[in-house]
Amino acid sequence: MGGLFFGPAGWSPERIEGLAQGNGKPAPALVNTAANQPNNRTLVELLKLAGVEQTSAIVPSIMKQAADISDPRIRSLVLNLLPTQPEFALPLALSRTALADVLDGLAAIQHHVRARRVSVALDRHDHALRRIWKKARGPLEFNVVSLLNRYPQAHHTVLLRSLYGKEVPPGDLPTRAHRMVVDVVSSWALGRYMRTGEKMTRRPVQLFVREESHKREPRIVMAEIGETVAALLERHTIAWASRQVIVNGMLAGRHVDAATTPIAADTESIAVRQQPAEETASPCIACGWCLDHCPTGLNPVGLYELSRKASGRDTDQRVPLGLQTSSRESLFCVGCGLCSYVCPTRLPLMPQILQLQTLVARTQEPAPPSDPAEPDDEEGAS
Amino acid sequence: MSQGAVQIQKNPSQAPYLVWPVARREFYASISLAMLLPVGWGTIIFGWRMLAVLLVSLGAATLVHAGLSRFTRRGNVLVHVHTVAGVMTLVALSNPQWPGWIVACAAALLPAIAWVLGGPGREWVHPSAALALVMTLGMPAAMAMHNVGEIRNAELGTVFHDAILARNRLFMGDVRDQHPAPLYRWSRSSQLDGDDAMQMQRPDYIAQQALDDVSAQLRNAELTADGGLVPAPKTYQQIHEGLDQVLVAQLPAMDLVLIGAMPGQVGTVCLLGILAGGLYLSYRTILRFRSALMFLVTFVLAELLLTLWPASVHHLGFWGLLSVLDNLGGELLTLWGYSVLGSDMLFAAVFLLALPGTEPLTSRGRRAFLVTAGLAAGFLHRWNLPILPATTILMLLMPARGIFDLAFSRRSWLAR
Repeated sequence: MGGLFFGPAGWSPERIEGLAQGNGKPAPALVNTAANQPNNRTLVELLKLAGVEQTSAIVPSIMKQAADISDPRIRSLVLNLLPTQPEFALPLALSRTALADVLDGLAAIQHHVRARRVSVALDRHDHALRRIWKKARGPLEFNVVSLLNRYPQAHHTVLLRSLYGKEVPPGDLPTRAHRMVVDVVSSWALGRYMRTGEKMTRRPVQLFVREESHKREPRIVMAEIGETVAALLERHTIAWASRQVIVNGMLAGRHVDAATTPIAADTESIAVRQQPAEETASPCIACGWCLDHCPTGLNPVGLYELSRKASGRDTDQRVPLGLQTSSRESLFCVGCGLCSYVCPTRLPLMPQILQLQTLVARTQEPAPPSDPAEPDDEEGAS
Repeated sequence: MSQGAVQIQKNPSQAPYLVWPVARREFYASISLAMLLPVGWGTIIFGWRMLAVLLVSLGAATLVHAGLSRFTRRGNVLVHVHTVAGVMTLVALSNPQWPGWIVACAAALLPAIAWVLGGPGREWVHPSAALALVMTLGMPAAMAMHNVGEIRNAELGTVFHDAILARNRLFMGDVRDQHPAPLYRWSRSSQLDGDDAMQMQRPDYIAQQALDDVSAQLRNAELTADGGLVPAPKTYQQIHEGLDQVLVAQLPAMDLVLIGAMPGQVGTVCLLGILAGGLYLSYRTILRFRSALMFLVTFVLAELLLTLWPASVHHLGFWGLLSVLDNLGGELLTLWGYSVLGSDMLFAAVFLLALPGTEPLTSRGRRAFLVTAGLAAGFLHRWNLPILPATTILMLLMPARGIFDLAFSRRSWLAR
């Protein structure tokens, strides 16, 4: 399987700025009393109470997964501590500063979904995080699975293949394979709600500031959900005017207008940098790097060509997408951006493939995914 | 992959916002840099004339490149480092005895060919390697014209009359000022009647000739019953006498082969230099280490399979072959080693496979391509033809790389 090994973050956060322990009252009895029959519906209610919705740009919403469970007893519950982008240290920061909350949140989810097995997936080379979780003792039994973190390993499509050999297309939820994948912020927010009764109105965000004059380490700060990105940056004395502000990672994130874009529940990181110079792409030299690195085994340059033809830029007539079986493969693109990242001729592969994906999704129904639910198997770290 | 006439802009407002630091320029620049060591050794072992050929070729190609870039609208598709990498490849695959002006003219053609084809990435074969192959096929006559004073064709054969400089004339000598010499000794110029270079046959040619002789003797060997039909002792005695002559008096020491003190193409003789270049390119992730290894292994296996010709193996039968391996195994393996190391196999595996577009894009297509190419190149080399076997096969198969992709590629694991 492709992907690119970025290794653990080169810095080690000791604290999250603005994260107070909180001393409110514990959450209502709905949480984990025996009186309430635990099931996925009560989990959805609990998540609504805690205000926990989509908390990661890559990991699917725990609420959607809980609502999707038909059989409440799922096979594995996976806490995903793998970095969702390079140099991302949020899982380590939360594990260091709020481990009890993360464990409590995970225990609450397990209480409701009654997974046969609970796993904590983390980067094999992130020794600090591994030490924390090896020593962690909490209300539930879990095993720590160390993976060679090839970006985008944190994506559930790639993660479920690495852990269980299950093939879950990017648009599908892990619950289709009777697995549930939880990100660290969801787990932390739920645990915190149970301990203090505080809803998730703030979340930790990692700030990357790239300045030419001096190098500043990234930091993790608490951000109010709903405030603008500009307000957060100004509060932390980061100049953003005339700079490029990118949300949720340099590889798969998006460029935003800081003044008008609010911090959302799934805003994991904000990067601020100087506007880069525009580069002109040149013709493909057939190096094959995009194919080597694609984590889902696609042919990015082939899809790129197809996309260009389909969008009618090369030819006057559009290629009938319904006849192109290969164009359907674009539906399996996870949008990690690795193909564009490695391309030595700087072709905009990922944007074109995502454009094709939209076209295909619009013109035809996606192929019915094969039922990945098979007899239970052992976890295999890749 | 075509781009059409549309100019694509990499929009900095589109993800990804980071790019891998190896762009097209670094790609070709790294390949050119990695070739410096073997080509540099070539200038030492074949003399200043090679350095002059390299510099003149670079100058000629650069002039044509600059002219096309400046005075034609289409010239913006040309990339100078691509031209430089082409010239380096051409010079590396050149025979030191070729007239320098022909190499320089061929180098000047490279940017023109790229210009006609539409720039890097549009070529069906690498023009530099293809031109070198064409010259290899057409040049023996020209070489003979230039060396007519000293060559003793009757003694050394008409094709493989190559040369290296005497050990006291390295770099400073003229490789065309030749005198016949045995290969097993690296002579001084005083031992060559004052000439600068020792004229000799290539070790792989000598080794393959010896293997052919052994094969012929075994094919005609009388078989005696000695726990099974095996060649008679007198056959072994005759073969040993022949091999003694080859291994002791004709072939150079293996360490000389490894450092590149043997005749051959300018950039293909220094095996250690090529290995160092390969390690550098692997470090830059430009060369796929596995691809190079797969090509080398299949090439070597093909040569190993054909150490003895099939007719000889058929004549010997199982017990006869076992007896041959017992009596001659070590010597045959040594000859096989000389044959393999004297070829252009390592150069092709490192530098031609590093050049983008040589291999298919998909991993399965690539594997099938490399196995086919390695086997074909090994077989071709065993025929002992006056060509560069590995380069020839890679250039012949390169236009068919798309077919390998089509035939062997698999759909995404999510789509299966």
